[in-house]
Amino acid sequence: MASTSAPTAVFHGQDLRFRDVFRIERFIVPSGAPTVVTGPSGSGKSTLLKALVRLVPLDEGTVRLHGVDVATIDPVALRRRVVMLGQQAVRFGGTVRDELQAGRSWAQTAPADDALLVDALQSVRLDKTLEDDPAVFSGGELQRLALARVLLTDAQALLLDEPTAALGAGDEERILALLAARAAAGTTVVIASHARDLSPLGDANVVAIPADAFQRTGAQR
Amino acid sequence: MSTPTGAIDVSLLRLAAGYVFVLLALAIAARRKVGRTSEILIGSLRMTVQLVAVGYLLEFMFEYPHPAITLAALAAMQTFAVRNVYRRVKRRGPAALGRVVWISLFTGSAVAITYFLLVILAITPWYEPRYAIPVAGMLIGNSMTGIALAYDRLVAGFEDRSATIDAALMLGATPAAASRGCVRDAFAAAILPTVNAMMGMGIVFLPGMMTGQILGGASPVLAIRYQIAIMLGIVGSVTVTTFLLTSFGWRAFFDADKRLIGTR
Repeated sequence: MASTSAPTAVFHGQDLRFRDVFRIERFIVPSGAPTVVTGPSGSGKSTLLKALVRLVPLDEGTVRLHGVDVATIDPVALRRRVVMLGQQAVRFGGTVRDELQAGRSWAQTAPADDALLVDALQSVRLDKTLEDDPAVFSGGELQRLALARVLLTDAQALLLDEPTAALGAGDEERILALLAARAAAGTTVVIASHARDLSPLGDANVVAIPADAFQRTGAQR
Repeated sequence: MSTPTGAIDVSLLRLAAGYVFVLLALAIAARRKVGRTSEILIGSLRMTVQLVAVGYLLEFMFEYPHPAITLAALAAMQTFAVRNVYRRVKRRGPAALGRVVWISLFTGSAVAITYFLLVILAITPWYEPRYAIPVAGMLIGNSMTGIALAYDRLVAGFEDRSATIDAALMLGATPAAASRGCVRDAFAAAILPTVNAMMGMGIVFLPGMMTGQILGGASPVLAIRYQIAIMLGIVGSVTVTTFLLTSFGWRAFFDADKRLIGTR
């Protein structure tokens, strides 16, 4: 590929195609402000996020991370730099503390101090102790626990697939604001989301994947 | 037939009297309209023909012991065992897992059989078919059951936990670490029947080999010594084969990009 990404772009995708699900000419994730991928369900938002960390094989196109083709980066190393949170909140087992540390232990990084864990719980508005058993949590509580888990990793970039889908309006607003603050502080944040009120994100960069069957072209705003 | 150890000779006429049991089964099945009469007939016929054939084959092999013949018999048993694994498993795993089944069953049982014949029994020559063939049959047969169980549990584990494994990969887990739970469960499930067999042995049932030896005129104490030895051999063979299958089998569920096969 001859094209080089702009110096501020974290992710730069060119002519991305996955089966007949999506075709995106240009996909750019800048640093500083969060990036929101919008589009109706089934338009391939989750697939696009997974393709960025090679959890889905693209049929065409190249994704660059800081100018380096992700296909040349070891997948596990890539996924430690760019952590993804799937739509389905998953429990790995154990207490709230274990669940929070799981992200760091999968990535083989040292465990975080309890104080940091408690901070993370507060930041996602989860009123639980580290000894609580997540097996009895509601869907919304599990989603916030899973979000806190990825926020505790050492990742440079976070790909969040519908991170607020199971939350009420008040919680959603606060968490979007938290993510905007995180992005401003230097972590690259990409959020896949249904069309909704994204105003708490502030001046976000929006990538819309249109609904029409094929000839899908990612329009960059 | 000669009976050097003093076992009671079952004459052909008295053996024929044994088929009265088959007639009884047939009569009851017909009367109750179970509809299994042809299966009972074919089953007893096959049992008779197969055992007579194996009897003559073993007689021939014992008469003319040769390393090549013993090795060929072992390879044939292993091949048959692998085919039986495929017939038994309910789920189909990735194609690469099939190759792991072959390698694990062949190398695992070969290691256990070699150790058993050379160290525990210390027979000479090592290929003496009177010992090598029955021992190999028991070790391979039990390993086959272990492998089939491990295969089934491994495939079921990866199906049931695909969301959890995906989530771990998204957090930067290596495929090996993400598979650890599935591997552990499959191994535990595979060795469970062997462990249970040891628990009940001698109390719940008398194992077939020991019963055969006692009927054949051997002293119960000697028969038990053989039985303990063979049971230990079975533990070894099942452990090694299922350890190989589970420790290498998980790789079959990932592709070169270190993502789960068959997921998106």
